[in-house]
Amino acid sequence: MERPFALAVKCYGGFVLISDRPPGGVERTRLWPISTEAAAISHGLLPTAHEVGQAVISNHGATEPIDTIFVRASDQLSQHCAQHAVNQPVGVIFAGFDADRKQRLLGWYWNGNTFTTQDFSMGTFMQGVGNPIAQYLIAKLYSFDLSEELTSRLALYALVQSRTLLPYPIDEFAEIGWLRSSVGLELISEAYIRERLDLVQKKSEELRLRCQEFLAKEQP
Amino acid sequence: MTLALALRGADGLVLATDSRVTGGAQRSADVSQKFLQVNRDLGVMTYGLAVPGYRGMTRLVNEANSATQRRLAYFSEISQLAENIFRDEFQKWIGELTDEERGSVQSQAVGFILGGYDSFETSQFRVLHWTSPVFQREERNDVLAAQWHISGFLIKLLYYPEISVAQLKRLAVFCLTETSAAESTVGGPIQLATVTLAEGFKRIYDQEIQHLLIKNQNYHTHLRANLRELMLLSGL
Repeated sequence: MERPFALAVKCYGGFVLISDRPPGGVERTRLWPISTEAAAISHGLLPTAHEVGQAVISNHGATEPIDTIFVRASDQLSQHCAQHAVNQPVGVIFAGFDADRKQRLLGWYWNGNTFTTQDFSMGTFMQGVGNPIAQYLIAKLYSFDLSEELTSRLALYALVQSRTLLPYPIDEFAEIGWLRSSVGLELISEAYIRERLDLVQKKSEELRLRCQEFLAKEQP
Repeated sequence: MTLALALRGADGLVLATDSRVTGGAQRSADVSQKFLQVNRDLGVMTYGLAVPGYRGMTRLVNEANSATQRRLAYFSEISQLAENIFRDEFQKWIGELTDEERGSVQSQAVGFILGGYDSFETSQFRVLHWTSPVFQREERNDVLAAQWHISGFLIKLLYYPEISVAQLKRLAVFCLTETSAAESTVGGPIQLATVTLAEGFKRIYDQEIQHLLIKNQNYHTHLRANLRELMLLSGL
């Protein structure tokens, strides 16, 4: 069961991490608190993405910055995949603050045989797989001063539209985490996510009506 | 890659592509001819691999309008000829490659869209679609091909079945502009044509496209403002 949707977005003062999942229960989470300065999100085939994520969260200091964690975690992940003969693609996106408190986005990816790492720190977001819908919507709506709340709405809208349009397996519910420096990853409640998903779906319909009305009124 | 659109309105079709070609020594150039007129009522478009795509289109136009044989008029015979030519040209092109190059050719690497008015057999506007390597004909209401994702989102927002061809031209230009702003493999001058009962296949030239681009500035502003208002700010 492939689960490619994983999105980490910088926001004002922190990050929003989001992955899709089936509604009800988080026994196979893909969001991972690591320290007060870092968190991760795994993507790829389940249960491998979940198991590999579990391998990430051990042996890290409670307040370690992302740059220290990433080097060690990449090694651990690669060793885990080699030892357990993981022959499927799986990846982990790390979000967090480095020793200078700069926001960093780093990626580790196992292609079933060997690993690569990526540094997306100059960008505003990082995804599990290329997702043109999320990329477009973030480019259209994102600004650095968005709060966690607004960034979560944007990410949920990207999730809903991606699920509607893209030929990827994407579940209808989501897990969301907010990462702040010195605090760590706060996992957002199911009730909050459900309320925001309902809002996004209602507003999507309103947007469609407004746009069509506008188009119809405009002279060709 | 490319973005190729065949959209159906209440009174006809709109066919549109960009003109960017990527790869090769030049890496990227905005000179690719991606659609041609076949006859009064019919146009053909291609996307993906430029060489078999262009060869397939030009051969179809030449053979459907042969000076030495009967000129083809029926949609069914033109579409059958098209299918045979597209498959044949792709196989010929594959035959010219080295084993290593052949191994790197992806499935659905080249596609063709035939769109127009079938005036003799069904009296309908029709859109047919083929992709490599099988070239199995697929009849569709509309086709969004290659880098279609952003257009898929925009069409879902903006399209309605009763839309006129005049509005649909603006929508096609809007899709191409929005995609080219986000996707580097789509860009360059927009190639646009309409097919209507009154005028048949009609190429839309640069001056009108420029006019549509300017008029569309309202769309861009409206979409961004409403997205921000509804998705980010409402309910705060």
